[in-house]
Amino acid sequence: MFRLDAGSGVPIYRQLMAQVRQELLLGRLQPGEQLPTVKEVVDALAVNPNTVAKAYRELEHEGLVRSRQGLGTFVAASPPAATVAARPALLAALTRWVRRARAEGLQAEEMRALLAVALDEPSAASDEQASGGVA
Amino acid sequence: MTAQVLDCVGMGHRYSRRGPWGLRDCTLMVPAGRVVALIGPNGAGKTTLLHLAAGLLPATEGSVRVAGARPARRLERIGFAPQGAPLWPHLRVRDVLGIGAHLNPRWDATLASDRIAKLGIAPRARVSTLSGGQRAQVALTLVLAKRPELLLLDEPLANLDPIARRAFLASMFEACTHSGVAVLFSSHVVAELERICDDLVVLADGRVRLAGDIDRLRRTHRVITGPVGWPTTTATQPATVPNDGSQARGWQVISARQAAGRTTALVRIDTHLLAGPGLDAAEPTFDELVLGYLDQHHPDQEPSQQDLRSQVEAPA
Amino acid sequence: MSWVIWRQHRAQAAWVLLLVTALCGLMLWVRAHATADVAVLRAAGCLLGDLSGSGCQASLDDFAVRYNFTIPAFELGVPLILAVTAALVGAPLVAREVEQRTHLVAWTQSVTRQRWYRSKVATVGAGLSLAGLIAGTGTYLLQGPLSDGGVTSSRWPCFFSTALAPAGSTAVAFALAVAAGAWLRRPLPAVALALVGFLALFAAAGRTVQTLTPVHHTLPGDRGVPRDAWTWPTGTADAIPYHPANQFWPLQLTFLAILLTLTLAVLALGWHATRTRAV
Repeated sequence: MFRLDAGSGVPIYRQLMAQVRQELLLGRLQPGEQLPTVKEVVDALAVNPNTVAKAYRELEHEGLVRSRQGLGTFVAASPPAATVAARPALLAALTRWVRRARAEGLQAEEMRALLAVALDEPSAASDEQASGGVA
Repeated sequence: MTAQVLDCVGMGHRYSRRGPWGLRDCTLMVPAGRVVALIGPNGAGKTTLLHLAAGLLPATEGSVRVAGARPARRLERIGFAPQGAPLWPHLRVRDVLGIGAHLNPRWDATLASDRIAKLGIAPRARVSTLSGGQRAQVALTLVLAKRPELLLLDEPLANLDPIARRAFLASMFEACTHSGVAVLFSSHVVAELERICDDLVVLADGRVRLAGDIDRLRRTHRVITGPVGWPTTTATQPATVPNDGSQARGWQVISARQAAGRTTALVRIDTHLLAGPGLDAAEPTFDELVLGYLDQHHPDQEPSQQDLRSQVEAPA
Repeated sequence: MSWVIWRQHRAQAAWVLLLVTALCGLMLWVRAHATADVAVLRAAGCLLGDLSGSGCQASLDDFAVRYNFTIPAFELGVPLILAVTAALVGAPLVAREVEQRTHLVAWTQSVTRQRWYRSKVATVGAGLSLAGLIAGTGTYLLQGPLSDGGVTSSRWPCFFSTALAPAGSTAVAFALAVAAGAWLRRPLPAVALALVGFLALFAAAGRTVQTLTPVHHTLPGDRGVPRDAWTWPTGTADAIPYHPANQFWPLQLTFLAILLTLTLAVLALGWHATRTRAV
């Protein structure tokens, strides 16, 4: 399930956490489902078990997973606050934007760069403008 | 609270009374279950450090303790794999394992034979007929089957192909999680270390330049890119006073490089950093952290003429 | 540790055993011939003190010529061959491990360097000394009929190659080789150094036994040195120094004691070199 990007500069445990979050958002991990055991991840990726343990611990702090002694780590019973399925409007708006950008000749990387800039912008009261721009 | 598995305080070594110091003022602690990577160019003192911890060299100054006692008294708890995996050429693989079995009180014969079988190495084969990678595997089996508390590995991955590397790391990690084995291993290849180690020690010219938990180190450093000529000195320098009036503390520039009209510097920060206009700040990658410290110049010692960076292999 | 020592040295042990067996076999074979020839001489009445008729002189000379080869072959040969063997076994003991870098493995296997050194040196050294003892028994048995037939003139070389002496000389050669190997960290030069040192120490020990132990002197009126006494040529006709035959075993024990003391001292030096110069 996990893939690591060695050269990305993002700490390994954060990559693992991001991938778990993504699986949850996409609905591929259901509440109560067991995450891969630390040993499985270590065998698959040759990554330090402490790193995996740290990722799972941080996810537990965020309330996304729960670890049961001796049994493993499981997705928390209550689903995360927002899944993609619960935001159809946003997803539709984003899909339209991507289509429009592609029509203007943008590649995926350029779109990602724009998204990064947009995410970095101070989050003052400019929500109206941002959503207006995307729509 | 258990003692640190490996505890070095101000440890140093020189071979003769007037000779150069192979290692100086090294303070380092490795707790149980942690994997510590020792990175540095050739001649930095990595092997000297490992030999001191393994009890092969006496500490000329300072102290080194393994599980609370001198390494010479804790030999059965230390698994040391020297660089290049030297083994007796005329002996057979099973004889090498036999030496391990007869000299080590806590020998796990099943683990040894299983591992050799899984690696496809014939026990009857003579060591001289093995490839470099196979010899490395036998040497690693020798240290793993000893069931030590501390693994000291001198460039263990050097002769292993990627599959062999993965298999060895799996065994090593299993020892860490099941038995709480502490690992200190040296490497002059930076790539792929990030996913293996918990802590990092950067060694250059016989001194520890950087040591600590990787995540904490990355949080307390920044890579700042700015115009050519900045920073003017590599000394401590006050940060730009931020607009909202809060007092920003100083930062320390570790090293700086110039390329393509820009200057990139690795800095250590005391507190929240505000970089100021014209400068980009980002958390350093693992490689930037290591290489930044290897680039560090020290006026109190003879500056290394060579580009240390070139001696440490990094991904392009 | 004993399994390890056996496994690392069993080939050497086999070679040494083969060598000693061959030497002893050879010596016993010569002894058989010499005994037969001596019996002939005795039957002809040629061995009774000074009674030497002309026919006896020729037979005695004949006997001497036939068995003269034993002096270089065995009296010099046995201690030298054993010394070379001991040097070849001792030099790589520490030096080869350091050269191959396997000492980094050997000395981190839960056995301290000191215990490793002591066990190896004691076991292998004892084995070589035992080989020396067996060879010494061979030369001792060989000397019987040869001296009856009057082959050996000055008997000190014979003394140094018989009974307990080879055990001690082999031990000294071994110790020197181990120490030289630990010092130089290369086996081949260590062998050369050890053999040079061996000749020096062997000669010194021998000289000590000859001169520093109680010595008898012949008086002008004596008829020369008593039979079976140990002596060395001085050139003067009177006051020839000699040791009577009944001092054989005390002298042997003295010689052995000197050699073993030297062995222990040299091995201590070897330990110092191992501790400081290896790694």
